[in-house]
Amino acid sequence: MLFRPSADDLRVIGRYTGKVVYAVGVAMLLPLVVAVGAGERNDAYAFVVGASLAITVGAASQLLRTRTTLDAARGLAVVGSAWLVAPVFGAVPLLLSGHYASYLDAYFEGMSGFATVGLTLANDLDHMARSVNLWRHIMQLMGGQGIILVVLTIFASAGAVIGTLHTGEGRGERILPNITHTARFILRVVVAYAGMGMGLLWLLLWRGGLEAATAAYHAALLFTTAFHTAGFAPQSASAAFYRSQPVEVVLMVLMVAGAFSFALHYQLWQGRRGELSRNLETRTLAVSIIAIFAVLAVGLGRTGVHTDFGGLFRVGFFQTINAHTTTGLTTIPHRLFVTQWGALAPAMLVTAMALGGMAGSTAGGIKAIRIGVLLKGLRRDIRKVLLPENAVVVESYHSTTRRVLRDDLVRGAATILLLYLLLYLAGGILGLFYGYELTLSLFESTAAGATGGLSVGIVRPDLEWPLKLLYIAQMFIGRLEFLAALALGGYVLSMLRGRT
Amino acid sequence: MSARPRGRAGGRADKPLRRGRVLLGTLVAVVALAGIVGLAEALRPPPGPSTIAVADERADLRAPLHCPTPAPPDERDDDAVSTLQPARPPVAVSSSELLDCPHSFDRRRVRYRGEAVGGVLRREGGAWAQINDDVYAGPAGPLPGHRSYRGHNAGIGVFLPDELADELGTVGGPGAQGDLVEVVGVFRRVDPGSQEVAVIRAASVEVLRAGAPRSDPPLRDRQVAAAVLAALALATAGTERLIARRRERG
Amino acid sequence: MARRDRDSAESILRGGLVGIALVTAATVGLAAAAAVVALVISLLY
Repeated sequence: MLFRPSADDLRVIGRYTGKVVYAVGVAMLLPLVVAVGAGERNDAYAFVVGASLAITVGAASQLLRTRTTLDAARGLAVVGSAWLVAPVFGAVPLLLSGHYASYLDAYFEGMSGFATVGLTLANDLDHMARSVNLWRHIMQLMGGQGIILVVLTIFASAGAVIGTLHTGEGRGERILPNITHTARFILRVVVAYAGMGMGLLWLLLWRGGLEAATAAYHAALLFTTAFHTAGFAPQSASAAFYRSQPVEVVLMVLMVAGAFSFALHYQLWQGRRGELSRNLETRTLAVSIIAIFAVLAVGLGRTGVHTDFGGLFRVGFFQTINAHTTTGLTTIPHRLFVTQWGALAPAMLVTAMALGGMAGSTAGGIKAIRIGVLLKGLRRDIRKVLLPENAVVVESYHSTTRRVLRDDLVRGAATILLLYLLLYLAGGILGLFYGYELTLSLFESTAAGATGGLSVGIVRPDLEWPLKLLYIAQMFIGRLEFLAALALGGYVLSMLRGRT
Repeated sequence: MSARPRGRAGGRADKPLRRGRVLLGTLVAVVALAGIVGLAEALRPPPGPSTIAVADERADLRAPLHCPTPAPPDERDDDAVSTLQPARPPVAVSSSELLDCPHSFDRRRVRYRGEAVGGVLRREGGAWAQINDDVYAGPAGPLPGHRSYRGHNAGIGVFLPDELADELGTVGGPGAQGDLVEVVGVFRRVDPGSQEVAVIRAASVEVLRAGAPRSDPPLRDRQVAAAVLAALALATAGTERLIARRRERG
Repeated sequence: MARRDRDSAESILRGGLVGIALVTAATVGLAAAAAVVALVISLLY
């Protein structure tokens, strides 16, 4: 089925993609209300235009009659087309706001939002209408919630169909029996963190000098970006604008929460704190974060940027967490990454983004489970070499329960690791064509492919359009972990090949 | 939702698609996309006055960096009495100069001009303000009034003691251009008190131009388009609901 | 219906507090380890 789409397959894909588009249209009604309330007239009309387009197309697509239902393989194609099509409509109010140089820029922003990346082509963000800025952040929220749901349901079962290319969570893995239960639990976690995160942020921002209403607005937007490890911010100065270490602390807790898989959240909610210390992913992440921070701090010390404890810890640790959770907020002007940080510290940020967070979360990158599985595989192979020939070597790891390390798991992890590295490298090399140094080019490429969102400044409105397209492709492929992108690509190719 | 592909309900009714239908479908999709893009481009805010000459040119990442040699500092952390040379005039800087070459200006007295945006964050002893010196702070003004796209805002964080912070009136943000101010103070690569990075500790501030709220004239094209499209959306959604209900019953 | 809403609210509260507390603890733990590292490195430079 996957490689011979029929008319019915396309209708199913069209219908379900249409549902997503419909949802995007309905979601635009919230910024519409804000625009009306804030007196942002032209932007209010822009949201009417955008919402109407999306709702029209979405409703029309529901008229497609289909004989069969969604299954795992078709679900993959829907996921791919949904992430491609949603920004088409999301871009409309952005372009109409006057803050984007072209439709391509607005589409880039939409993709960056829905893929929870954080790279931005917005101009004059500090004067942007509240409703439009809110919409940027709502796209992050939708994209973040969407990818979690997709990974836990469609990817998990699709992995069982495809075989090797799965997330490594194990066949048929679901944290709760069915999709509605999963969605309900995810909602609970989001509500809990929203309550805590927004509440604390609002208090801190209000005490920090913003007016109550403004503080609430910023708190809401910051929550969506931190918890969904996304990267857009209400102000151009990003997290640095608030000049507050307590705010940074709250953001870090939210980012870490966002990089934890929902399977782990489920365990923690039951009070099973042992999971934190036993889980392969949390252990891999912890070691990785501390190791990367250590090298990053050395890099900062060597270049003389920060040599005191305060500077190293506050700036270095936040940036390490920021990069490793693939969020993308900054606490210092990003120009300084180029002019001050030397080579070693930014390279550590790239490594952190490349590795990423836990599978089954909004974080991007290669994912901790794959790194962990590969390291365990390496350990097993070393043991095989060292032990007598007839010894049986079984390696196991802990992920909710004790599991045996199987060959196909290690192989699948290696394949995806390789694909991600190729993705980062390809983008880095293409940047060379346009005259950017390899280090800078790799940084930006990894930021796109790993959905990291930190930037050295390559991404900007007068960036050459082929590079904009490249980063869009990288954000798309990286977000969907190759699976849906490959499935969609396979579909298109086989359609063009014609009947066989 | 099952993990296995469901069996076909109609047997071989679902043949692979003919190439002709694929091309037709692609054409329809391309036309629809072109329509959306074309409509969006048409409804953009008008270009405004022709591109104003802009002093705010960001450093191209591909150009080499030339930093002025750091001069002796105007302020030391440990000075009981400043035994440095007699007070030098502050050097006029832009945010890009400060961020390109922080070491060159560290602990130097600088003169910096820009628009106050976002908010005046009152803390103990003073307040933080973000002062932007980009094209949007200058004569061109904020977007969407023009099409001089220079990317994100460029600015520096400034700490103002209480008396100075009181001078600030309007801050820039949605629907408002902020006060254009000139601050004179010491630039710190890393501020020893607050640990903030690349900030100016202001000793004096002057409001050059008071900020003001701004609004854009309503766009007629957009109003019309909104009305038409909203009607279309309601009609489509309504029709779809009716048909769906009829299908359920029939 | 009201009972289920109340249970749901309670479960969000209870599970949420425990879960959030554990995540916060994890973050703080990481920060503590990083602080030690930062201290050591700051002594070197």
